[in-house]
Order: sequence, then C-alpha cells, then structure tokens
Amino acid sequence: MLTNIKLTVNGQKHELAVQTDTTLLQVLRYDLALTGTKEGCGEGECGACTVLLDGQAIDSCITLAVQADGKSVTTIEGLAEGEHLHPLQEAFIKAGAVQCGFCTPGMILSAKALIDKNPTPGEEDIREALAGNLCRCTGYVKIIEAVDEAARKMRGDS
Amino acid sequence: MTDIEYCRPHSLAEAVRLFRESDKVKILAGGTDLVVQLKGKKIAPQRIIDITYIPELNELEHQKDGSVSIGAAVSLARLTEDSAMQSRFPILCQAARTVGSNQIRQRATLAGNLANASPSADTIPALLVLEAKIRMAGPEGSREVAVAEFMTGPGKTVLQKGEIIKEIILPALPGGPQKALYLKFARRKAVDLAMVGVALLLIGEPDRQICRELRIALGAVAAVPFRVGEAEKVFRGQAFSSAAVSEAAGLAKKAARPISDIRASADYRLDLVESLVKKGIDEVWAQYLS
Repeated sequence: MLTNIKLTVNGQKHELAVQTDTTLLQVLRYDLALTGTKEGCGEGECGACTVLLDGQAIDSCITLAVQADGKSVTTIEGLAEGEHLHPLQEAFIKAGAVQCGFCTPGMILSAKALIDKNPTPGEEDIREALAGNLCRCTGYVKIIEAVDEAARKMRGDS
Repeated sequence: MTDIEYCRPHSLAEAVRLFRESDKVKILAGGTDLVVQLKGKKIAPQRIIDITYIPELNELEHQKDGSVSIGAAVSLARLTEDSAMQSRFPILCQAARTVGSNQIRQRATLAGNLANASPSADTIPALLVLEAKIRMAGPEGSREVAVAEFMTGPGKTVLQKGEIIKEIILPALPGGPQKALYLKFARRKAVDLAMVGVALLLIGEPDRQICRELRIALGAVAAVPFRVGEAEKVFRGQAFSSAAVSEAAGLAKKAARPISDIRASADYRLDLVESLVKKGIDEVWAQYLS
C-alpha cells in the first residue's frame, strides 16, 4: 500500500508516495539521492545510518518512511552552508577523527544532537551520546576530542 | 516487496477496531523491535497500525497522589529526560537508559519493551520492583494487570486478540527513605542485551537502621523476569548485615533458571546473579545510609 508522505529534508520540502515497509534510509539514499547517510548493519546497531528527525538522532535504517511524515530530517548534507563547513565537520578534520569516513556522517549527527541539547557536554556525555555509533578505524579517541572541540567552538569558548 | 497496509488511527477505539479486524496485524510505536523483525523476515504482517498519533497514548502524567501514568507511545528518551520521573522513579530512568543507544531510545517505547517480552528486557525488572500496572484496551473494554502477571514467556504476554497496551501506571511509592538501583551486566556498555539484570528497591525505616522492604527482581536469567520473594524475606524488618546479603544473594542464585546462549553460559549467569545481587544490595544500602 502506498502512503503519501510529506517531509522536510535539510530545509527542503518533499512529497513522496512510499510503501509501508520502505525505510527512511531508502528514501534518503534512493529517492532523494542523499547518499551521505550510510547503511552499515541495517538493523539499528551501528549508527552509520544516523540522521536527525525533528532534531533527535535516530537510526534511519529501522525507521519506516511513513514514520517521518510531517517531520523534519537533517542529514550530513544539511550541515555545511555552501563551502562553509559546520564546526563539527571542521573539528573532525582537524582532530584526525576521520579515517575511512564511513561512520563519520552518523557520528557528526549524533554529536550535533548532543551539543544542540547540551552545549557543555563532558566526556561521559559524549561517550553516551555516541554509544550508538560504531567506528572500526579510529578507536574513538580523536572522535571524542573532535566533539569536545566542536562543542567549545559552538558555544564560543575557543 | 510485500504489500502491507499502513493505518494511522487517531483514537484508541479505532486502533482496537483495526487491530481486531485482521489476523496478521502488528502495532507500531517506535518500531525498534518491529522494523528489525520485519526486515529480518521474522514477521509478515498484512497490516501495521501506527499508534503514535493517538493523543492519550502520548501522555506522561504525574498524578497528585504520586503515581504516574506513561502512555504507550511515550519514548524511552522522553521518559528518562522527564525531571519528575528522574526524581520520583529514578530506577526506571536508570534501567531505560541502558536500553540500546540514544538513537534507539529516541524511538523505542516502554510499552514496546513490555510487549516485545524479551526475557532480558531491561525495563521489566525495574517495573517489577516498582509494582507497575499495565492497562490494556481491547474489544471487550479495558483491563489492568500487575506487571508481574503481564509477561508469560519469551515473546509472550497476556494480551489477547485485539488488545493493545494503553498505558503503564507506576503507583506512588510508600513513604520513607529509599534507594533503588538497576544493574545490567553486559559485554558492552551500550547496544547490548543484559546477560543478567538486577533491580533493587530498598525502603527503610526513618532511623535508617532497619530495612522495611527490599524488593529484588532479576532479568535475563529465566523465561520471564521475576521478583525473588525468598531473598526479599531475608531483609524484611531487618538491619543490614553481610550475612543477610550473602543469604539473599544465595537465594537469588537458587531461584534463577538461566539458559546458555551466545552471550553467556547458564553457570556463568548463576555466578553473576549471586555476585551482582550481593554487589547491588551493598551499593543500595551504602547509598541509602549516605
């Protein structure tokens, strides 16, 4: 059965007809060609598919597209403003927190959700917020440093 | 691609009607269990009923008598971030925070954790020591069961055909100084099932010497999470003693019926029950005295 849904993605309004079992990840990657969001495990465990839904981090691979109807989605593509990178993106690059880059979009969005809610996250807060995002390359140390640095920048501390 | 009907009722009555009408129907709240099962082809519903647009199911209401009612569509994240929940029922917040990850908790619901009825569900031991009640709505009307009676086996509950969880009620806790704790032993710090879950609620006398009641619930070590009545008896009306702690921990171990699975052997789980109950009681007493 097709359901018509309306969703705003990175500020742009879209209207689509989706099958009940189509996931938000599929809509983003295949219908909207926003391939920055990745599929890692496909079962909500690795966080590579993390996007923001009404500002909250969710796993888009286990979210049905119909559940995003009427809501606002932010993907990694929605962070930069033209050539101007978001402080989180800059911090990740500067800290050396990106190796293969596959986990990175999800990591950055989880971090954004955290900082938007808590502008002064401590290390434990960062670890808890990112616990649903797995990285096989970096060992997480640089990622946590990057999030900490980005939070400082975003609140004007450095 | 399978052809599944998607329904979005705006009232509980409509949801119940839609649920009752068909045989292969599933209820959708957060979908963190349902969509995984759907993708893994463990289920093949013909109809999915999205209950998140029903206003009363989205209510989180703290009552004047100290109780709280948690609607079926309330997410774990919303629950754990509610400041009144944090101060009145911290053990449920603590247990809910061990579920999955932030991403999961933003969508997952307390009702869903119950309805999915996993023997290792983290919120159930906490709900057991809080003596929660589950209110359900069905074709015959609404009814209520104690959480201890709700789950009947792995993946099985007392929900009849056409019945859905409406809300979970946490009754007001008895007065008096108290401390509660949920300990989850898992391989990872997040995104993992419990190998053993221990929920403890200590209610003491005002003099902080005598324990009025120590409620103990175990998860992941039996087909259904359960309260260990025998172990609770040891502490009723008693002062703290290491002997009592060892006795209670031993009785908890005796009561557990764990299986061996990919996460742990039954023997290891039995040892974990004993040491975690001991550790938990020591910790909850120490917090209570401070």
